[in-house]
Amino acid sequence: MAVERCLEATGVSKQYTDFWGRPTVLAVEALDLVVAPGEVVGLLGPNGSGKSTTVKMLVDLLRPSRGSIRLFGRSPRDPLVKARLGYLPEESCGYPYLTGLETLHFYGRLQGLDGSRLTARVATVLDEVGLRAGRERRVGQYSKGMQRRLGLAQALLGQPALLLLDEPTSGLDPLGRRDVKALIRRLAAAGSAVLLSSHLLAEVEDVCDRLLILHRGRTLASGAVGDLLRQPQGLRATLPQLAPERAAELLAAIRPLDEAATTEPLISRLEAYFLAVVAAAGAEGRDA
Amino acid sequence: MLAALRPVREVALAAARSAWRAPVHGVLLLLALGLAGLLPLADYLSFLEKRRLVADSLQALWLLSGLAAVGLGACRTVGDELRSGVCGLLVATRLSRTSWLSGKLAGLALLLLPWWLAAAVTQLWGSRLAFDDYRVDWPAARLYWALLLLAVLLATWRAWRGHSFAASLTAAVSLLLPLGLLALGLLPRGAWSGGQLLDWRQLPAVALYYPQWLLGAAVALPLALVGDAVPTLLAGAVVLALGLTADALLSGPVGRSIGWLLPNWQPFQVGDQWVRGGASWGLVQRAWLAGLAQTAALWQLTVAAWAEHELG
Ligand SMILES: Nc1ncnc2c1ncn2[C@@H]1O[C@H](COP(=O)(O)OP(=O)(O)OP(=O)(O)O)[C@@H](O)[C@H]1O
Ligand SMILES: [Mg+2]
Repeated sequence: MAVERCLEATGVSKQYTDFWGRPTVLAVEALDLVVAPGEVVGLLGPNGSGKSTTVKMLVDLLRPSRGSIRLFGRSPRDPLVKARLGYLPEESCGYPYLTGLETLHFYGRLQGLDGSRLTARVATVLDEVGLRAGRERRVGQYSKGMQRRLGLAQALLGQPALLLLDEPTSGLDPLGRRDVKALIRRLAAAGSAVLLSSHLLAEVEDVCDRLLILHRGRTLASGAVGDLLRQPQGLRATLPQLAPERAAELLAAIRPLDEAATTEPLISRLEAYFLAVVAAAGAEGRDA
Repeated sequence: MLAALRPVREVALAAARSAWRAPVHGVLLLLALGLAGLLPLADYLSFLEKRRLVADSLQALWLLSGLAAVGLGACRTVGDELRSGVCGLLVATRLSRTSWLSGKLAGLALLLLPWWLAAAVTQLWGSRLAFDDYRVDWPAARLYWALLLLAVLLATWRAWRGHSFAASLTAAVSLLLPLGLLALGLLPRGAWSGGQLLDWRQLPAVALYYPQWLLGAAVALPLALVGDAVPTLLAGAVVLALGLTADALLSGPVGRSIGWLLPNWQPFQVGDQWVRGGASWGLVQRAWLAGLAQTAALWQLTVAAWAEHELG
């Protein structure tokens, strides 16, 4: 069996129309996209750039105006394809009057799970997304982060071969983000393909193998994250043990190599600092 | 075959459960039960033919409140779910659209079962309260109100323990009121006249609430797919009014042939017949069949119209 592509979109465009069929917004234009098993691909773009529209076309909620979409070599309408998909929509995922646990059982039963297999699978995904403590509460009372976790949990239930995640970490706290990023990497390592959309640069950088930058529906750049970000002409050296007073000495020593060389004190990222502080306080807030 | 029905069952159960737990459902049920307890006591109904007046007003009450329940239920389980994205999620990864719609219709049908029971019980109870044209049967009235109060207390206690008030109330009245109806036979005036003072001839009319409500569900479903709650209920009311006047509006050969296509409520209005000994069960059966056929036809149209609709 040839290595199959989980997802292949060629020349996909989406023209929204009004009630009378007149064109309004060209939300996506000539998009090409391929996702292979074990790969994490990011759709990066500002608000309104067409990320959600793209994802909805991939799951057959919207019909592309042009171009073709194949999932596992088949049409997205094929029920066999649907069974292998995990989808996290941008909006909410639950019934306000059901508890988190009831919601997951509902989604699981619709995927053909039942009995002890369902119970075990639900327990696993609840742990994976850190929602165990809130499982008996009504979804209507969930915080935004908890709703997001519930959405992720339902997407993972069927152990999908292809995950389509629309802004998976929106509304999550830094600990939740770290966990979700780790989770996505684990899933990819286990062979799942993941397509996620986000407007958070750091997130895409941390977790994606490849990315597409969308702007007003057009693809501005695409490729492997490392390739796009590498600046082959430059070099950054880090000297964590060097006192700041000795910066002048250092600069004098390297100036002959590069006129534009600079030094600056080492500053950690707020995210790293925050995670360190919370970890030190012993509040391992894994569970929402 | 059975495997294909499984998703429908799951959607139906979730829809019914959600609708039962919605606070508005509890308020509506309590309101209807309260009115059903008050109407037979009202002075203006204490004339000759009291039984008939009470029966008629209870019929109107239950017909409308059941339709309101089904309209609100459709807005909640269909409209809200469509706009929240849950529907998109379900049809993207787990279900066909037809299964989703069938599940919703079945869920509304489930939602109506306790309403049907409540209607049957109060209609019989009302006939007992009105068995004498000039007096009220106070022991029977007190029993009704005591049981309703008990149900509210039970539901409040369950709500205190963190459960849904509306769902607990539904369960409590579905249990207590039928038991109360049995106990009515033991009350003084009954003195083991058993069910004699209850007017069983009302049951055919009660039997016809359900297909009318179902037809209401089939009308509310497509409306909830395109609109918000208020327009849905308004448009539903217009269709109901049209349906009620269908025979009068659509007379003449042309009118009659169009009339076949419209949801027609006329066959269900057998309220008058019970005076003449009750509507025959044959009539009930024919009206049920007509109601089911109209419901199925409307549902088919909805499915067809919605199959290619984008869910963006
Ligand atoms: N149903 C719709 N009808 C008409 N236009 C739409 C519809 N949905 C989205 N659009 C338009 O399509 C464009 C892309 O929207 P989309 O939701 O795909 O953006 P996005 O990248 O997901 O943005 P965000 O980061 O805010 O979620 C926007 O200009 C939006 O106004
Ligand atoms: Mg979006």
